[in-house]
Order: sequence, then structure tokens, then C-alpha cells
Amino acid sequence: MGFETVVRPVVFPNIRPAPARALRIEDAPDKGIAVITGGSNSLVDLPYSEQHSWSQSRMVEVVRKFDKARIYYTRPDGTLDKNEYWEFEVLRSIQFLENGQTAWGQQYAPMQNLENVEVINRGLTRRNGQ
Amino acid sequence: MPAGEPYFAWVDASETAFGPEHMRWDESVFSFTCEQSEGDPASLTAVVRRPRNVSGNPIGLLGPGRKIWCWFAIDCGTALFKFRGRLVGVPTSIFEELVTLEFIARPFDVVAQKQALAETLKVLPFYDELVIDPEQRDDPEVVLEGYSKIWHYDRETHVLTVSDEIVGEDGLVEFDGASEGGKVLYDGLDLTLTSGPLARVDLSAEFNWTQQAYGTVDLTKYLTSNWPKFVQAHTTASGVITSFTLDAGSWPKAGAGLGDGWSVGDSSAWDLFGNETVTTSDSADLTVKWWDGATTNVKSSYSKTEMRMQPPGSLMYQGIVTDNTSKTTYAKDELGTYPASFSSSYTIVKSVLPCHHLAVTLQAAYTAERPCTELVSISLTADVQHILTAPEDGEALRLDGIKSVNLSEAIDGTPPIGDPRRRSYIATERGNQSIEHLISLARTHLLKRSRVVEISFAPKLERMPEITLRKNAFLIEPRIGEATGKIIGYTLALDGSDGRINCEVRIGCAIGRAGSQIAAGGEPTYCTEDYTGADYQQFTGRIVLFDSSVGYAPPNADPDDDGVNFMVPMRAEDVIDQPLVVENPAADQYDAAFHGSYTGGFQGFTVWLDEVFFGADYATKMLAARSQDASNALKLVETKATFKLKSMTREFATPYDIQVTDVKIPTGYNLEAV
Repeated sequence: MGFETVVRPVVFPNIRPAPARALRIEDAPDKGIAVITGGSNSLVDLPYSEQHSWSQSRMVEVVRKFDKARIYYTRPDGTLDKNEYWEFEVLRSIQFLENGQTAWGQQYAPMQNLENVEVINRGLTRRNGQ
Repeated sequence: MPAGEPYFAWVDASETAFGPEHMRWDESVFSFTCEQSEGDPASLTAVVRRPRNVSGNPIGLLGPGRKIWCWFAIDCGTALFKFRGRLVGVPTSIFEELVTLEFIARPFDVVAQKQALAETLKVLPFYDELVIDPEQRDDPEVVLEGYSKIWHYDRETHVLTVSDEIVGEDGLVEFDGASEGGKVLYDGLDLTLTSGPLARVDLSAEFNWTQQAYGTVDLTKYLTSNWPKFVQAHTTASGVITSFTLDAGSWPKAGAGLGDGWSVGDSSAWDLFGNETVTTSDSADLTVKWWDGATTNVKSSYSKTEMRMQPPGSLMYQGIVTDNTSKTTYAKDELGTYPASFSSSYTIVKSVLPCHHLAVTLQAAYTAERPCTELVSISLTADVQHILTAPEDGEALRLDGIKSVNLSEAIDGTPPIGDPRRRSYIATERGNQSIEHLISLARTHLLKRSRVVEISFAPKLERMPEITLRKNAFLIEPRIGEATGKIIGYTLALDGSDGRINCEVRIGCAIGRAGSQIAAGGEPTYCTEDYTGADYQQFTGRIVLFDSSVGYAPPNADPDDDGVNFMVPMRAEDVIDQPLVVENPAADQYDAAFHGSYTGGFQGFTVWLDEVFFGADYATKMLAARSQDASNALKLVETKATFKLKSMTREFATPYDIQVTDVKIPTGYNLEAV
């Protein structure tokens, strides 16, 4: 390089478009980051349960209704011997006590007279313990 | 009519054509000077006898109704030297016997003529509106910036034209020194050197545009294929991402920001398994009534809750028994005490930390507004003779501050850059025209400053009608040798005191070394030129001629940007600036939740809590504590995915150093031969 003269002419200095902006060339590495996050989670409880139970009730006889009947002895020839007999009670119904409450239980049909069976008394009652 | 006879006629403005009727003497011309210099209209200074009427009284030159236009002519023997002008200013010495009148050959409509002429000169590459402020584009003076031309006013017709400063358009006036008319007078010859030639012009220019584009890029495959695999899940489906925290609801929604100029265009997220649970239950009830009236009732039931589809890789927690009780009650009656009832209950709670398996899509939408600049520098050197002993001492001119308008903003409906998505302007065909304009700017300075030698000489009067400032003159004179130059001025004068007519012509001679540049085809970078033509591909070593005086190598597009090409469909790989990084992927979360737990008997606890493990309802508390502990643990290891897309607002600047040839300049005068 010699004694070069650099000159700056005044050549239409005002005819150029105005500068757009000051340049910012470098990108900021920490800017413009896309972030995908969020959400949540929690335990999902999976319970298993089972229940078993049983209960029972026991009834106490209070009063019973019954009929009294006789069964006569039948001789080998088929005739009856009315001097020889057995007497027994035929249950008609029982009143129970359950949890302090009394209730009549099953009602049974009265026994019918037969050739060798004679109902001698019907509708008898007897309290428990008598 | 004898040679040297001057004529002066006052005329109306409408008398624009000279005719015999104008060869009269409306005034007695005592002396005159008619001259014209380059760029100026011709002028006439006439000293005339003071006008008087028939009574001998002076006539007011400025009186109303007087004509102000004149036709002036002088007989040069071979032809008339004519001048038409308009009286300007106040005549001087109006009270003296001789008054001086000033006329100028400047048209009334000079502004309109300039404007109209300038419009015809707005031609690329000499005029490039892109580097002209829109407010200045109607200024006719600006148009000549790229031309080595100057305004020329015809002294007779007043027609405004432009004339090149090196080569005149109307031919050559020869003074060969041999013929009678080709000789010049001995006196009046002069040669001067103006300032030294301009050796070089360093020019820099900025071309600005806003790279504009919009569209979408599908990031789905990139995200899912680069998402860390969760090996514990074994069968993670393709295109599915896993996390213990990131769920479908937190996947970016349409419109959400994704970076500079980026947002979510469209997206979807679907949890393949979900957290849905189903509960099944059953029960049985049996009552037995005994023959004696007693009853026995037996009941049994269960309830079971399960996940409808348990996600693979989910973290299973052991069961905690929250209830395991049984009870027997007894009753007493007249018969004694007996067991009246029995019940048992058992509840165990297992827990699952479900892994989210998300089938996702993500379309990233971009709106690019990226300011781009191409910094073009050109250093143009003139091939001129040096007038200094060291050629390096020549003068260099720096032209900077040349800036373009925004090339992506439409002018007359079309943006100069064509497609605003472009990465480069200067490498386009239009960009090359801008380069040529810059070359024309620099070349204009070099040409104008190459006219270093100015020669003035005195031709004979008979040659003066030929002289105009649109011609060149060729001169042979023993003292200076040969010279060819543009006529830059002339003077034709009559001195009334001695009656001599003085003629002078001045020429400006360029001191180039002549010659011409040669175009070079260069090497195609893609295929043979005859296959696609010269305009399809890029070349190396190619020289395109601006004209025969200078050529340049059209630059290949080499944008110093981030590589994003909006002109073609873009893939995710094209726009990823920083790759996907997933903090705390599912595998890490699994480890943190599983191995980080306190395993001393109760999986799921990271700390031992006395108030949990001891005390009433400890199992229920354990269950609640385990749930809380899992939530807390996940908060510490939330999945966070980050990536960066290339900025759609970033600015770029690319330098281009345009290679040019020397500027060949005509040899008007050979200083080296003197």
C-alpha cells in the first residue's frame, strides 16, 4: 500500500433507503426452547374385600297343643282287645319363645280315628315344665 | 453574406425554427460571447447598442410587451452557428450607450423534460430503484447516478438529452492538422491535467429483505423416535412415548408456543391404557329353617377392583391389609348359652402407579419473519495510465452506505426478491442486476475521473457549426500529438473593439489503456451447460460481461444462515436447532419411585414414619402415606422434554465479495507516449 488517498464523495447522500435496523445476528441459545412437561400421576388403589357371616336362632317351647289318643291291641286273629292299649299324645302345635316374643309354630292336622286308634281327647294344652 | 456576420432577431417564444427571416439585425451587436460548458445550457452575452425608437428615444428593454426571446446566428462561411435563447436577468449598463444582454438556451419546461427523460433512463442495470429511497425516485438527478452521462441542452432546439462523458453520441469532429479546415490555430492550444485518475472504487452495499414463510413441520416421528425407550414396559409400541407424569392432558395444545416463530399447529395425545378401573362384586345369602323352627342364615360377599387395562411397565405396590376382622356373638336362652352369629371381614389394597403410554402427534407451525441482509462488496479497478510515479499512490474512492429497500415488500404488486422465502437475493437473476447496478455506479466514477487530460484549442470559425457537446473531437497537432476527447465546452466570441472572432473548443480525454474484457463460461457445478442451459445451474469461474469494458463473476448463493430452506418441504431434522432432551424419562422415574422407596417391609415409603406405622388405623394411614409419598416422589422427577427449533425471527447477514475484472477505459490521450 502506498500513499493511497481514500476519499468519500458526497454522492447523493440522502437518496438511500433508511437502514432497517441494527443487526442482531447471534441467536440466543437459551431462548426459544420448547418445553413439554406437566401432568401428574397418583397411585391407583385396587382393593379386594370379602365378608362372611352366619347367624342362627334357637326356640324354646312355651305351650303345646296336643290330642290324646289310644291304640288298642290287635290280637293275632285280627280282633281288638280294648283292655290292652297304649296312650300317647299327638302334637298339634307349639308356641315358641324367641327373643322374648311368643309365636305359634307349625300347625299339624288333627289325628283321625282309625279302627284300632281312638282319639280320646282333643285340644289339650300344657305349658313347658308342667 | 460575409463570414463572421452576426444576426440578431427578437422573436416570439413560438418561433423555435430558424429561418431566413431571422437573418436580420434587430440590435446592433457590438460584441458577443456564446459559450457552453458540459452540463449547462448555452449562454449568449451580447453587447448591443442601446435600442432607440424612430424618434431616437431610448426604448426600455424591460418594457411590457417586449419580446424576450432571440435568435442569434453568425455566418461561419460554411454554415450558420445558431443560438436561440431567452433574456434573463436585468440588462447591465442600461443607461449607457452599450448595454449587455444575457441570454440562456434553457427551455422553459426543463423540469418536465428532465422528468420525462429521466423516466426513460430508469433502466436496469444503470438505475436500480431498489437502492433508492422511494421519496427520491422522482428526482431526475438521481437517475444519472449509474450513467457516465450528463445533461445536454441543445442550444437551438432546447431539447434536453443526456450525453456520455467519454463517447459522444453524435459523432466525431476531426481536426486532422492536414486539411485546411482540420488545422487549429497555433495560439490557444493548451493541455492541462485535472486531478489524477481514480484508480479504484471500493463499494459496499446492503440488500435487506424479510424472509417470510409459513407452514407446518411434522415433529411426531422425530419426537417419538427420539423419546427414551422404557425397557421395563417391554412392549412399548412404535410412535408411543412413556412417562409416569406426562399425561395426555399436558401434551401441547394447538396454539401453544414452541419457540421463536413457532407454535403448535395441530396436536393430539391419547393414553393407550388410561387409569380406568373396574370393580366386580358378588354376594350370596342362604337361610335354613330347621324343622323345629330354628333358622340359620349364611352370608358371603366379595368386591374386587382392577384396572381395565394395566399399562405395561406400571409400578406395582404390595397389598396392604386394611381390614381383617372376625366376630362371634352368643345368645342365652332357657337351654343355655349358644353361638348366635359369626362374621368376618377382610380387605387388602394393592396399588399401581400406572405408566402413561401416549400416542401423540405434533405439527409445529411456523411463521417466519427473518430479517436477512446480504453485504455486497465490490472493488473495481480502472485500467488507466498512471500520472504518478508510483501507481499505488493513486486515488481510491469509497462508496458505502448503499442500502436497499426491503426486498420482500411489494413494488407495483411484486416483491423484488420474487419469492420472500428465498435465502439469497444477490444470486438471483434480479440480484445479479443489482450487482450490475453497483458495478455501473463504480464504473461511472472511474470513467468520469479517467478524463484527466483537458485540451483546449482554437479551431477555425468554419468548423464551429459542427461543435456540440454531444460529439467527440479528434485532434492532431504537432505539439500534443493525437488526442481524442469528449467536447466539454466551446466558446465563440467577437470582441467589438478589434473585430476579431475567437473560437475555442475544450475536450476531455480519457487516459485508459483501451481494450475489452472477455466473457468466460466457467465450470458448471451440476451438469453440462448444453443439458440445462446457462441459467439453470451455478458456475465457478464464470465471467459475465457488464459490457465490453468490465465483467463480473455472478456469485453462487452461499447464505450464512441456519440452513432452513423454505422453498422445499421441510422435515423435522431440517428445523431442529437443539435436539430433544428428555429429563426424567419413564425409566428414571421408575427407578426413583421403586428403588428410592423404603423397602423395609413396606414398599412405597421413602421415609419411615412412626406416626404411620404405629397407632390406630395404621393400615389406612399406611395406604394414604404411600399414595402421598408416591406423588411427592414423582414431583421430584417430573418428565421434562426440551428441544429447540430454529428461530423464525433470527437475523442473518451474509457477505459477498464480488469478483470483477478491471474496467477497460478508452485511450483518449496517451500520456505514456508524451
